[in-house]
Amino acid sequence: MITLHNVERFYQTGSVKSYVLRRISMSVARGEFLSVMGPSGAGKSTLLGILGMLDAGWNGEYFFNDVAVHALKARDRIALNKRHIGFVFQQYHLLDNLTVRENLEVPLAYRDLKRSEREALVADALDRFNIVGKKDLFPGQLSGGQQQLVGIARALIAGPQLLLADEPTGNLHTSQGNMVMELFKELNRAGTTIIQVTHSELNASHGDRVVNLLDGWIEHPHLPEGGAAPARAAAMW
Amino acid sequence: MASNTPLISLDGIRKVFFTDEVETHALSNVHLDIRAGEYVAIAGPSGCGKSTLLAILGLLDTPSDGTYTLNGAPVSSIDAAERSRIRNREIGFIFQAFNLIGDLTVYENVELPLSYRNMPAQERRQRVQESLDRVGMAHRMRHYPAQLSGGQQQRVAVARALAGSPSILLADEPTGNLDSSNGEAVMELLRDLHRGGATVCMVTHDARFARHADRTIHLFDGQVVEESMEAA
Repeated sequence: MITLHNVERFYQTGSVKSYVLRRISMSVARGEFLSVMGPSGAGKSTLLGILGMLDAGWNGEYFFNDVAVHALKARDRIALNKRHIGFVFQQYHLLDNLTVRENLEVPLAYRDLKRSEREALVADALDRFNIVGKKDLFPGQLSGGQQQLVGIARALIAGPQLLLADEPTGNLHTSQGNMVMELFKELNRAGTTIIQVTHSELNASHGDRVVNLLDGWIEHPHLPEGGAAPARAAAMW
Repeated sequence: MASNTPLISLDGIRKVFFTDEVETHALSNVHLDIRAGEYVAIAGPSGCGKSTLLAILGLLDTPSDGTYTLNGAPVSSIDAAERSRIRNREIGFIFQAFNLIGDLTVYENVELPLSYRNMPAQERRQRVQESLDRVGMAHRMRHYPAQLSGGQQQRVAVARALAGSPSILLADEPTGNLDSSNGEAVMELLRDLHRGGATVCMVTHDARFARHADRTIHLFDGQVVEESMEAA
């Protein structure tokens, strides 16, 4: 589904380039549940932003379902993201002045759907995530776990192939966090490809594979000692 | 700009919360009129009832007692669907944490309040464009929130609040997540909008920001304890 080839991201201040991602090459197959790990500042969220097509200022190649994302115009990139990708954020990103039902409707506003179809999708999502009783409440009236549940329901309402989650349990109690991870596992079993950024080994253990980032590089722990390091050092200079 | 009939009139507003048989009076007997074109600040320490009052003004919550009249119509006891409709049309919200959606572009975030109305696409585009122009963010239309600074994100949030041409802008600690220079810039923007005719009601715990308003309502323990006018 996803292939990255030598993707790099840097910020330029004056004549100084600071790299956030270096030569990232990786693939993600349809149906995988992948975790991206690494310390703060390793480039995890930047990578997720690129995968989610929320960022355009990078170099390299990115193929999504064989579409060359690196060659797309902003308008087409945005359209591709809308059609195939759902996002879950650490801070939920719900609108505080909209009810749960209205928040779920947000992504549907960008699709050409009849009102009755929109209402049917919202009703399905409320059922599926067991939040029918909350539909007229505002985010401020819900617990963090419930808000994130609404966030996940919103991310999935338009039926994306790929779910991207940036520290989805970062603001939650452990028990609520586990609930979210169980839900991700179920969604993954039902066919949604998932990539999550996480600090937590426990969360990562729910997925099938981990990519470790450090200082913008993908870590390859299985390479023989000393094997990769010179090449990496050479690339840096 | 200000007219004599109040845009907003609160009369004898009380809000009581019950938790484990303890009664908390978040607001007691609040009277407040806001006329069209005014810039009012609601100030007070945390826990004084500011946010509860703003939630009631914004039709996000209902008072336990008292009447709320908005644009001449009583709104304290209307049903949820009607409240939603009035909220969407009459009130523009600006939040401390910006409340932008990360996977929607700047343009789409601003368009959100319009997507709940049956408005022709052409008019929608024009409204979004105008709102972004007013806050100086039209050149960032296709960016995503994470590609912007905090100050820019709040400007986009202000544009979103403006897009629906609401009767009043409600701002909840709009500078709380910004450094002082970005905070001042957002205050300046609200002042400009006010000079252009917008009605603004801002909640803040910071007296320096309250000074930007024409009039400040001081809340303490759920009651209005003082009203002060800013010398013009």
